[in-house]
Amino acid sequence: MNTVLGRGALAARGAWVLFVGFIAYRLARTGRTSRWRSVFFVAMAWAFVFQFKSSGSPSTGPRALESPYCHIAIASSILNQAYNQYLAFRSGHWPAWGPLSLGFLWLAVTLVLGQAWCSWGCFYGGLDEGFSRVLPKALLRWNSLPGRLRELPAAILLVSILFSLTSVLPAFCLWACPLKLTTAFLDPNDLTRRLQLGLFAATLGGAIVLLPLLTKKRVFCGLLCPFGAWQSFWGNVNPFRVSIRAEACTQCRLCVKVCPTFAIEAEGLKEHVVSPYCNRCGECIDACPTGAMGYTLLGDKTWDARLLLIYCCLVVGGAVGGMFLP
Amino acid sequence: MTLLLGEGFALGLATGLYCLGACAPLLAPYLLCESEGAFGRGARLLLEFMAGRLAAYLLFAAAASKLGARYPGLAGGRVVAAGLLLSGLLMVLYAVVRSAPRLSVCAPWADSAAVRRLPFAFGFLVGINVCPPFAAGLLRLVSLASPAKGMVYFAAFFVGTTVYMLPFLVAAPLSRGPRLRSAAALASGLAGLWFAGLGLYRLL
Ligand code: SF4
Ligand code: SF4
Repeated sequence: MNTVLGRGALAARGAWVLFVGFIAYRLARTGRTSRWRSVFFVAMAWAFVFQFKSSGSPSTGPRALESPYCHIAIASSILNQAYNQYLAFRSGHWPAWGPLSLGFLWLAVTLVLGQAWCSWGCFYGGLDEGFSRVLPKALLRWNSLPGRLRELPAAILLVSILFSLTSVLPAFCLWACPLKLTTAFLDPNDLTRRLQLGLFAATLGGAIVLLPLLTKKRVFCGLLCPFGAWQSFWGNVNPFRVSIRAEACTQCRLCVKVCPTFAIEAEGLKEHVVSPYCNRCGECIDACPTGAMGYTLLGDKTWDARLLLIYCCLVVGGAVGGMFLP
Repeated sequence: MTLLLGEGFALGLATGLYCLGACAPLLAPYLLCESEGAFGRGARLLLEFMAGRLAAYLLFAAAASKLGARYPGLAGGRVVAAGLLLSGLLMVLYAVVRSAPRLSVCAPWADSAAVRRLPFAFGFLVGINVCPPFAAGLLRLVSLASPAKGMVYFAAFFVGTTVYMLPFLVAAPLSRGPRLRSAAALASGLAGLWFAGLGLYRLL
């Protein structure tokens, strides 16, 4: 195995470290979070797309189905992964433990970032974030969801897990992954294939490009992503929270309007509660005119946890982004 | 007769994982949504579902032993596709009623007897969907050519597969939180759309 990096690769890593350092500087200097976080997040997502598409990584076909390495695929077929681990354990076939190692990685990331993964580390989230920021103002107003749709990502997660289990294939990958659109399928172009391609196109075109562009909401992350739902159940093992100080909040609802993932609901706001889907993007904190919102540790509003959160996020996000360098 | 019982039971035990797979997308969201975190309630709903499945098996067994030899296409044909379509549509309707109980069209149904009897209907409709083990059992029925023997055989098959349904009981205590319940109601709708689409595709 060749472990010596060429000059070009070294230069790319150096540039990435400088870039992350510059983002850290801007975040500290401006005292605002979302804008510079977004620059970092979008850059990472596009680095991933270029790396993924240029490396010929298997996104469909037997190799991809054996061990999907993407966090969305793993979460949405978690029972299959667990079963594979069981088989690997029984057979003593240690190389097949790969997904389990990813499980430990996930645990570490979740302990450090929790739900913040979805705005600082996820290499898909930056795509709809990028499109949601192209226009200065939303052309279509979409501030909130009907309450009953709030759990749609969790429903998609549940259905994906069950169908993956029954078909022994990662169902979300095969039916809704937007990155599959440009991938050639090996099997014939029958009705099933055309349906799959149609759904890929709808997810990419609708939820990642068009609706974010028109509404300034991250529609894929907020409404469809099974990993977002997964993290919303586990994210609380991490201590970072977005909290609202009741005495400073005037109920102006600006935070509801700007939240890109519909994580603050009007009902919750009355109780000064942010939903578990909040991915710590900081948009609401920057927008709140009275400074009522902020990052806290376990909801302790006496101490501002912003810089600690930024440090954790940039270390983890920077390491993840570093994997996509040429 | 003992041999027949043993054979049916063994077939059920050997192939029950398939049954678990066929029922999971339908049953798991329903139990998560309706068990209200109570193990006993979950167990009762599971029993009702199983009763529906048993009824479908017995009916099918009787019909297949009588008619199977004359109409070999019965099992794989339109009855099954219609069952799939119907169970899918039922799930979608159920999801709408549970997710939007205050809508004027849903309100009368929210606590109705029809919705309460759904586990039996779901069980029945899933029961007439032909999965590989069920089809294997049907082939045997045709050779038995006796409705009574066929029903005994399928009752034993049912008991064998039931072992694999028990893990669904873990869904009941999980469903304590309102988040999981509303996710499960929506999941029923999504899975229902899939089943309905599949049924329609096979019908056409
Ligand atoms: S933007 Fe600030 S003041 Fe306005 S409702 Fe939200 S938390 Fe309260
Ligand atoms: S609640 Fe605030 S921090 Fe959380 S996702 Fe919404 S805008 Fe971002």
